[in-house]
Amino acid sequence: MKRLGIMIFVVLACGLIFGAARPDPRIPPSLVRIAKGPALSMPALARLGIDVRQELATCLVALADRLDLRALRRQGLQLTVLERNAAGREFVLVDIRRPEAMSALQAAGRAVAVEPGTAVFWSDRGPAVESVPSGLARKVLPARSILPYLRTRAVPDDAPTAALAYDAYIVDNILPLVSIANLAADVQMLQDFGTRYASTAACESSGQALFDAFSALGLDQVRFEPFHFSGAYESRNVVAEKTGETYPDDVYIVCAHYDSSSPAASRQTLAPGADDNGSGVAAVLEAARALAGCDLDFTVRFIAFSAEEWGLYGSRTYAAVARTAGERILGVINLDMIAFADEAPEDIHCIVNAESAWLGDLFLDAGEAYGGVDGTRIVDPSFVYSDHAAFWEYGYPALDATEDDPLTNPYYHQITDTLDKLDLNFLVASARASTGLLAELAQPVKPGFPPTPVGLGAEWVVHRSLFNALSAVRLTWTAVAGAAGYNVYRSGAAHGEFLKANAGLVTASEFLDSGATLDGTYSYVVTAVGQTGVEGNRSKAVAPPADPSGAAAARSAGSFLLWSLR
Amino acid sequence: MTARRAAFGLAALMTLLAVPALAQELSLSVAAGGLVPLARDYREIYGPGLSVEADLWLKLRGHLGIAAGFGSLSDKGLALSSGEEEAAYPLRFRRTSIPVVLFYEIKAGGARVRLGAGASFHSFRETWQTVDLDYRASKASPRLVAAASIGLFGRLSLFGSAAYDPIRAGADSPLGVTVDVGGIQILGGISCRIF
Repeated sequence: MKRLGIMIFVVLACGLIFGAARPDPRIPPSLVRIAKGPALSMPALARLGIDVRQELATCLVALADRLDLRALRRQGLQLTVLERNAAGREFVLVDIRRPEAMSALQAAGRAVAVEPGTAVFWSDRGPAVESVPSGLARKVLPARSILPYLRTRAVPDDAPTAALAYDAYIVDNILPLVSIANLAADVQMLQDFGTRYASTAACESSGQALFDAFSALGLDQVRFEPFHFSGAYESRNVVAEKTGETYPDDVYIVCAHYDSSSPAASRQTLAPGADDNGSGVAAVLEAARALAGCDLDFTVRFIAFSAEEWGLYGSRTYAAVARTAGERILGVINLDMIAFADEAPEDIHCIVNAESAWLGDLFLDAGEAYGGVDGTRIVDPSFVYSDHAAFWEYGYPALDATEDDPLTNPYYHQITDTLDKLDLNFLVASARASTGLLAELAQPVKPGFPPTPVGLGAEWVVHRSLFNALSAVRLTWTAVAGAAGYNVYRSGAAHGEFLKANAGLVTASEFLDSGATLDGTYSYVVTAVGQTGVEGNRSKAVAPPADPSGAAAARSAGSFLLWSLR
Repeated sequence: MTARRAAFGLAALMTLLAVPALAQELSLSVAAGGLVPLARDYREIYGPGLSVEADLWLKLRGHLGIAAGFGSLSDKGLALSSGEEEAAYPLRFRRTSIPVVLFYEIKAGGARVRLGAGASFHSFRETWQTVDLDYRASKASPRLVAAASIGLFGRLSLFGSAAYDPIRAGADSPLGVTVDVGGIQILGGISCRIF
């Protein structure tokens, strides 16, 4: 009995000793910088369950506990611990490209540069986002991991993109509706609220004005989407929709934030925000006006976000909900400060990440074709200081159109950011570029043209012998009433140029493309051709599944081979 | 490599020179039959093939002997399809083989049973008959053989054999796995004693 007691004591003592010696791996997490490099693998991070909160050009910012850190180091990754105790803290990314930005930030709280031009900021004295000095662009780190939405393979940002198909219908019927007078009136209307600083009553009133403006256009599903931000505050995104006739569940978005900011002393009462971002909102309203009376194949959503200046709260809420709901957002055009010209002629800057580079290319084309404005595409995943970045976090393609990156507007976040400082010709050019691109993507349903085919499906058909394979892609779609035939277009790259795959008109509602090879990546669209020979809009693009069926099922019985000579 | 080839050639030459001195009996067998393929893919595409083979059996002193010959296999099939595609692509598979085996002969009453092991050198070609697709390759493989003959009259005997040729070929196979184009070959025919 005594021996048993001793044994139980020893076992319990060992348990206590080893249990106490082993730290709880979950508390507290650290904020770490993971350098991008050859050793970085997104699938590996996913396997380890790393809580990645932000992707930047040269690194990832993540929360990691001790076990995570050990595992990451084992992967050969270069880590920098930015803050040992990250539990419960709010972290903000801040643009520190402006002179003195870093010193101002360090005076306001704790800041560490994570790459040139970008710092992580936090404060021990309260919510970090409210401690960031005014005039510095910021973005609050997401509250959850964005790893599921990060690409698993690098996308080349110079991949060829299909050129914009200049559409005379858009030029003749839609763009004339975008007027300089309307744009100026909308900016003035927003400026007249005095301030639109999120959390103020005036900001909510301006949201109501936008709601009324969308409603007056007869758009579908005009609605407020309320959200909470930075603890106790509440604001509303204003959303309106032009539901697509052919593909109602496939959505393009044009958006801008309607809240404004100015120095801390004045922003509760005066933050006119004519350029930032009355200009962007005016362009969204004008796009809505131009497209309201036009039937479209794809759904277009017009959104005015709030609390962008606080750290993208409105757009982040929206993108998170959209991702959770499984919404198919095909592209986002975010307009933020598109009316100040520091040179003549002014050009427009289009900021994208690698996955959205195709959209940027199209925007530049649209700038030339529909707006008469030159543009520059900038692939910069570190530019996360406008609402496009919220969509990047959730894996949606998005661009940010702005007058200059880095900013040159001396009235930025000042009480002097007023309509009289804007170049309205540049504003109308920017608005026509974005409206033209939106119309091009959403495809107006043109009278006298055959309907757009739907139900397009693609599958590999592969014939295999022991040593050779013959592959083709079989396409099927729903027959279009009254169509004389169809054209099938194939692209060899995502968002690449579509080339006709059929020699003569396809008369059945199926097509076998024997020009496709198994090692290629293809996507297809189909158009219907009317009895008079006019060709309708393109269907939604589809791609055959990457893994053709049948290959994996084949198994050789040669496994009981004894020996072989070569 | 050159040294190995030279040694192999020298050994072959010495064998050829030595064989006539040791030869006791020479017979020729001609047989036809079928191949039971090892690989499921092969079976699905071609099924059992038609095979013919002629061999010279040289019995040396004691129970041992050496045999060499020439075999041909011809088969027709259809390409496997991953979908419900109606198009059918006819295929043809041809294989020629040169087997060389060392055998051990047992006499049991009027029958002779020969058990042998050696190697076979194969050349094969798969052709898509309506599409310009073609594959040729050569391969060496081990061979195990069992043959039996029963005298009929004079120099003629009834002959039967079963040979096992695992021919692992197909690192290039689009089926994603190594394909074995060999199998168990079962032949029947006649044998004629030359001396």
